[in-house]
Amino acid sequence: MAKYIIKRILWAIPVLLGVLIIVFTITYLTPGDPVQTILGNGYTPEKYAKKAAELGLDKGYLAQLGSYIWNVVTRFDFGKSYMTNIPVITELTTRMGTTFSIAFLSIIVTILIGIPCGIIAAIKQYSALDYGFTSFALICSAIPSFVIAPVLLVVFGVKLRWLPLSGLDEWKSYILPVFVNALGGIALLTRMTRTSMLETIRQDYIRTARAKGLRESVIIWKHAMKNTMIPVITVTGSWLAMLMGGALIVELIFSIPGLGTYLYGGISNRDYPIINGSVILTAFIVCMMSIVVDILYAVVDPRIKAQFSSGKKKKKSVQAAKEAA
Amino acid sequence: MFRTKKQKEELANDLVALSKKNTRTADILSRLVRNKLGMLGMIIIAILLILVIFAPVFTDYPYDAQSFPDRFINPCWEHPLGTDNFGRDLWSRMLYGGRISLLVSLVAIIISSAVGITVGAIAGFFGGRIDNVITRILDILMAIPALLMAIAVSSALGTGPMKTALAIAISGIPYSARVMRSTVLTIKDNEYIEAAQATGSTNARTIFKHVLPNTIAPLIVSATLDIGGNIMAISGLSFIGLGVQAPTPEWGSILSAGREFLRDFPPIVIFPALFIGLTLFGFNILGDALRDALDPRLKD
Amino acid sequence: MKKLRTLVCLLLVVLMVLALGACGSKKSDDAEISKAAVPGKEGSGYKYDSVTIGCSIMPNFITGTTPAENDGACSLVFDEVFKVDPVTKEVKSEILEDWHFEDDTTLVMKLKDNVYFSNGDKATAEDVLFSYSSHVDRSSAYIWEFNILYDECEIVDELTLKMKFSTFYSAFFSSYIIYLYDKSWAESVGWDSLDWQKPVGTGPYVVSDYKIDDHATFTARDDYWNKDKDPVTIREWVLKYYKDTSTMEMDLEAGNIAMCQFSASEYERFQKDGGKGYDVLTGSAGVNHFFQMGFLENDCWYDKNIREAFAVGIPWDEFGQVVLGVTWKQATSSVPSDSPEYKNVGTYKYDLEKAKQLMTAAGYSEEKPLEIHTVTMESPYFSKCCEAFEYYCNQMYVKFTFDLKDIAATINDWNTPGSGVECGFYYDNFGSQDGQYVRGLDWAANPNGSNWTFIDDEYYDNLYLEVAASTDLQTRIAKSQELQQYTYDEFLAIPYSEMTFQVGYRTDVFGKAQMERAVMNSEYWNLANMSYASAWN
Repeated sequence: MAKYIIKRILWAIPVLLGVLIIVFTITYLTPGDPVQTILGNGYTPEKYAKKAAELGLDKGYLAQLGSYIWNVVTRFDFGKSYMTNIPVITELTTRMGTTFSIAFLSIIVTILIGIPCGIIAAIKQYSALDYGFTSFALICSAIPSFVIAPVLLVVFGVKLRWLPLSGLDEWKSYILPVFVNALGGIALLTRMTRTSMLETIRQDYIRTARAKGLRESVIIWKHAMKNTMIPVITVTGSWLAMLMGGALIVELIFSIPGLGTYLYGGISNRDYPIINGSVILTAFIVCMMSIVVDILYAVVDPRIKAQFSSGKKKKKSVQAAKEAA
Repeated sequence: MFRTKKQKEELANDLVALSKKNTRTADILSRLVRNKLGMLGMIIIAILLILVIFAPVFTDYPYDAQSFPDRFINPCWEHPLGTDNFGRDLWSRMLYGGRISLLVSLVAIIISSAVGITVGAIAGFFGGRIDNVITRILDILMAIPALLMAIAVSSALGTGPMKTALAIAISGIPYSARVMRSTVLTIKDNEYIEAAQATGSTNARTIFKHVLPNTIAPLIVSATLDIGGNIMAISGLSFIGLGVQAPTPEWGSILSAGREFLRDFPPIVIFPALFIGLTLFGFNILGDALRDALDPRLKD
Repeated sequence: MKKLRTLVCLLLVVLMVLALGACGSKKSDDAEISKAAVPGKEGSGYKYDSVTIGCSIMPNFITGTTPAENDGACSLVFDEVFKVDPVTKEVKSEILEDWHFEDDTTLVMKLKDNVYFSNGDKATAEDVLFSYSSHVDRSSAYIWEFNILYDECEIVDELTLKMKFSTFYSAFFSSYIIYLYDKSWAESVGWDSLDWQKPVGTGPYVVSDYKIDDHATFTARDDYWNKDKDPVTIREWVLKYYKDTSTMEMDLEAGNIAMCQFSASEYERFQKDGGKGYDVLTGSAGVNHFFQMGFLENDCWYDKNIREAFAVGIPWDEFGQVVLGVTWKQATSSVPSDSPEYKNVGTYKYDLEKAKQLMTAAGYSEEKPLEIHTVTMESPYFSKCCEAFEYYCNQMYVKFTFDLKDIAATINDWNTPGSGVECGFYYDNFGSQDGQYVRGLDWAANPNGSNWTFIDDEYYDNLYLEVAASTDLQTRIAKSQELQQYTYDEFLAIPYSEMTFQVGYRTDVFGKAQMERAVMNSEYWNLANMSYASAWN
């Protein structure tokens, strides 16, 4: 098991490298010149050359890529923003705190509401409760977040004045952004859990357990849950990874200085250090999240755990099972 | 329009009787018909498609006819949904905009499915090193933010409906490839595949004749669900200024352009949101119903 | 099963702790951000302890070297060498004791003796010279725009300097906003240093906290050199940054901020429903919105018939109202009506038939329309402009196409001749402090500006420079009016609205007279003006 985890972590490195190279190339080839963006209008060619040299943009593609990778790997130096001169790593660490706090809160709310709703909807399939939860989930996922957020702001911020409208100064400021994030997640998770649970409880072994006379709650919690959780874990993992990357629309509307707006600003200004740094961080989060998801799979499903043992062992055990059959 | 329970049962029986060969298809259809929500979804989508495809029948106004004196008219007989800040009829803009929204979404699905299916099938079927390499590449693609991808595509190729479709398609390829791959992996271990290969079927033949038909079900489901997701993605892109640009009408761009009038003239925001919502709703419940119908294990 | 449960519970607990920890630490790290205005503490002498206002553009540094940074932030930490009174339009100075002309082309400036920077340095004539020359050295956006700086400068003594011009342009005083820099400090840190987020200046405030994309806090200096004469009444200003302007406007309505810029739709709602606890100050921004023709990019503009067709073939009043909403104000010249140079040259009467005839005379028809293209920034404003314009063009045998790109790509195209930017919708967003014409069409006579704003007409360009060069007010007015008339007669640039600004402010914090002293246009708020005790009348 531990070997597997280490192998996965090691695999993450070429993935990160691949992401970096692709993103670097994309931004390099995209029209739009950061030097022009900084200098604005009416600069002299000398001024342009000076600024370009200052930013290291006068070298060729390979040289720029090479020096960037070298800096990152040896000195953990992600460079400084072209526009603000602030080191990228400083900004990333500050904004990580902001974005992650919202992401974790959102995912907790999502899990606490989404999974139980999905389970209930599945257990009582075709009942009013099922239709109710499912329809609610569908409606939530059908409204764009940039429509619902301003409406909530007007109602709760302006008309009722219960909640602050922007920034993250007090605990009340977290309520609306988390709620908007969670809406999308709850919709997704409810439907996912419901479908997965439905698939599971139709299985033969559940029928057997019922025939044995076990209580329904024991059946659900002891036997069905584990299998139900597998696709749910996948979905939750990728949703959390997306939130940790910074939910752009929520950050824009609620004026939260997080990772999403950082990348967005960087792209608009062709601020390459910001773009490259943010993307590496996001890719790292995605890789780590997928490792965590795989570990959780193993915890939940012993069959998957068995797969992680070496090939030989597997063949032996399968062979033995076949002979025994 | 709505059948009674008895009619539905008869229909189901008829379907079974008609297609003795394809009992499976008949089974699926009958299960689908029985799912009330699914039928509702299908009706919603059918109505929307008819409205959108035959738009000139349902409205006299072109979508770009500006009229200064007619700005901000509330919904009334001449303008069922009102007019916008240019005096353009909102009902027309919804219908013609729907063409673009649905078309872009559909094209994106087709592109990402076509590429994703191919890649996923290869990865799943051949396994081993090929699978490893392909999975790593998919990981890399998934880690790249969709926003960056969209900007890169629109900067390099220009803007417009088809370019937006391409941008969304590229971001969606890894996901459909993954779905395909895991489905193929599940099927691959089945005995009939082993049997086919034992009887001398080539790889290609095995893939096309035996593997693919069994993967269609989850793919259909995920494609249906993705259409809704793509419409959402398009409107999200329009919100930050990419996506389909003026003057082409499209639900998402109408919605984000109308945001500044949210409090003064809500219709300009309510109606696009309603159309997007209904479409998503319809496709999602249809997708869920299809999934319920196509999965034999859900049969009661 | 039990193991799974414990693991999941553990995971949730960990997540919760992390989340709460992040929330908690966030609170203690940040400076206290007050709501709108916190009254001053007893006996402190300050009317307000802290006032929060909203802004939608946050400068990366507070250097005052680009017009976009005149966001009020600069006025708090720096003093201007020359400034124009918003109400009387007089030219004044905060730090100069006296200035006069020795002869027609030599300006003598004498500093006050008691001006000190926030780091204790005394302000000298060297600093004044440095404040001007640094713009030249850095070829800042100001200088190349106007090209009307001095030729040489002589330091006479510690407090006096002489500037010699080859031709003195009267716009020298009002066109620039030159802040007084501390030469020794600026040279020691360099222009690209992060220290410029908390710069050294002679103004009444210093930057105590600066968080990019979030907020900036300015605290009153205890050692302000002018404290006894005109103390400030607000101890702390907090500039809160908003990425989304509608959230900012909602915060004003809710009473969380004391002042912010209003958009057209917000102003429209204010006009209809009134404001509970807030009022809106509106005024002229000192420039007009123009439809500009890219002479260098498309030869069609050299044909007078075509230019006239655009002038009469498009209902510009309607266009302005669609695009600007209730903030539209009819433009009756290329200069705003509150400028001393203004002359009412009239508007173009909308006549579609005549426009079609003109286009036919120029060789275009319904089957073969004139094709023009432009590239501009993706924003709600430009999007509306292009959409409306396209519709009107279709009525008069013109096929107008456009590309909306993001800022970086747009600037790239604007700076590259041949990228198809054949016309554009232009507004000088720096405003004109005293309504002088030169700042209104500065790029129009400068071929080194954007390639689509230059008006390639020799008579026009010469006349323009004459206006800019006039030192005598009467001559200047006469020449400017001649230029306005010429622009109108020759259809060289079509103004479709005067630019107005709307600033919302809470009436329980600020008074109207106070606001009028401070807000000059939508970009330039002199917050220091608002803070002085003399402002509260």
